[in-house]
Amino acid sequence: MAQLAASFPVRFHRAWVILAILIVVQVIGQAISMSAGIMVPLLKDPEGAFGWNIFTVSAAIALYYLIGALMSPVAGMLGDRFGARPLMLACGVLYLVSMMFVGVVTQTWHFFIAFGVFLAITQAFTFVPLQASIGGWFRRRLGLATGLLQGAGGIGSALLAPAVAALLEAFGWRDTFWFIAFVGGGTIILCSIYFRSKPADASIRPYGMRGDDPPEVAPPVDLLKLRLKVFGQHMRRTRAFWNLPTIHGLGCAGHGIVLIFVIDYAHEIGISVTSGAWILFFISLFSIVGRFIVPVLAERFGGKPVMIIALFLQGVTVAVLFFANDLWAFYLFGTLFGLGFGGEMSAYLVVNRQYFGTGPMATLYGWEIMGAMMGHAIATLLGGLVIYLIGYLPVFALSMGFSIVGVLVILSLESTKRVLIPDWEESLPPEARSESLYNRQPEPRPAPPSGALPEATPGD
Amino acid sequence: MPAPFVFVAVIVVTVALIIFFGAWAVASDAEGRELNFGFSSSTLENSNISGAEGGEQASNSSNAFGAAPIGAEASDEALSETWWGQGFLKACPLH
Repeated sequence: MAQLAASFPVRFHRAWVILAILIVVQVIGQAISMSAGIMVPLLKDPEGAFGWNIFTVSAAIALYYLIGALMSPVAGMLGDRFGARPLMLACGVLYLVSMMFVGVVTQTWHFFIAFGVFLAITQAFTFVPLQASIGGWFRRRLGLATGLLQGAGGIGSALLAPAVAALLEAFGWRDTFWFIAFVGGGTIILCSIYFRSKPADASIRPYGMRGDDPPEVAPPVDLLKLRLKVFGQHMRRTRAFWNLPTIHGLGCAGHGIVLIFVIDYAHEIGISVTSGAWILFFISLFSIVGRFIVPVLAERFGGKPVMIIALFLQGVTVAVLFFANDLWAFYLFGTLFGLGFGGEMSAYLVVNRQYFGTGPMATLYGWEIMGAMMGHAIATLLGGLVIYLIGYLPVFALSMGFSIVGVLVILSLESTKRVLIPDWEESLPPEARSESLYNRQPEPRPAPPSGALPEATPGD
Repeated sequence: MPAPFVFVAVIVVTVALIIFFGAWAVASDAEGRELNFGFSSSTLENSNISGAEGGEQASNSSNAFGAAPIGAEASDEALSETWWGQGFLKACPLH
């Protein structure tokens, strides 16, 4: 890795390499959720190889969300306990095996296990501990790093769906998923070779670390367990710990309803499905802007006000649908909604830092992702019920309601101007505190000057 | 530890809404409706974990969850006779 960094004409901190790796893995991981929408018509096609009942396929994907939601906190805890790198390797192996399994399913129970269980676990492991690990690498410019990660993820998700569809059309079911398995799984495994869970594993300091920052420590297992336990106890005493997953759930329920039903609604009032698909294109396109800019603004101005603005924008722009009769109005909606929608989801890693400092954050992020997945499940279920009983416009009112309640919950949060648990280490025995651990470990290489352009870390 | 009132309140209200609308759907006269209650494809084609990422996948299906055309995927079994239909009706004090 040192040679790789040294061979570049511009010297840079390894944190940026880690970020690039995380972007690649995230985009590959999104092939799972992106392929879900494409495989459904093939699975239920009565003329096709499967011809399964839609309820069966629905149940498998519901299982996917449920297992994913349940596994997210577990993945977070494992990330804090063992570090992101071994989980990335496990992800690569799981991805390879699961996608190969999907490629050879013939019975419904095969699909339940391959997609509903294996890929759900893979997805949880891909998102939670790996994304959360970025916090350890960036003491400064975490907002920029998170924005790049989320924005690139948005671009990847926009491109993956047509790519998977094209592969299916060209090569058929088995070869497509085996191709994805080998390319995706192989790439993740390869990435894990170059990835490091935290800067200390590479004997360097995090990007932007200053002299007065709390030191990064790599405690032995027994002390690590104790530190995680005490940190968790302190986090659970804050409103933010409980309310952040709630907000993520409400936010995802709010945009989930729109993403699921907006094309149906446009079609209902006379817009073709093809034209309606462009609404989602605009949402996707402008969500990339929101995904990138919101973490940057959250770091600059504080996460709480920026989250309020993003979620409020997501909520109020749904009102455009009440008056939209022409295609241009739907496109306007897609543009405005995309900004809020993209911003709603992307600031959590920055907000976690602002509330809880540089402590182990994967567990909290796991709970937040659990909230997000449950929000989507609820959006699907409740939205479907309301449309069945009342119609489309009430379901969009419900979407607004979720977002606005989310804004109210954000208002109930503590200020993001200060860390909520700055003294959590005082509950630790002296030998488990950062200062003591730091004095016992070898001196890492000097940190690059913060605020400066990314600088090289000599060798790692 | 402070009680997570907001968290609990949101969970309770969300579950109450699901029970209420679920019981309403089961109790309503499905035969008089243009749409029948059940799963349909766009539930799957669009659902996504956007916090965790994505969420933009489009659906080309004009059906929505709970809005499958009668006869397409509908079961002949009355909703109120299914185990989950009975569960909704028992759980909702208003139906």
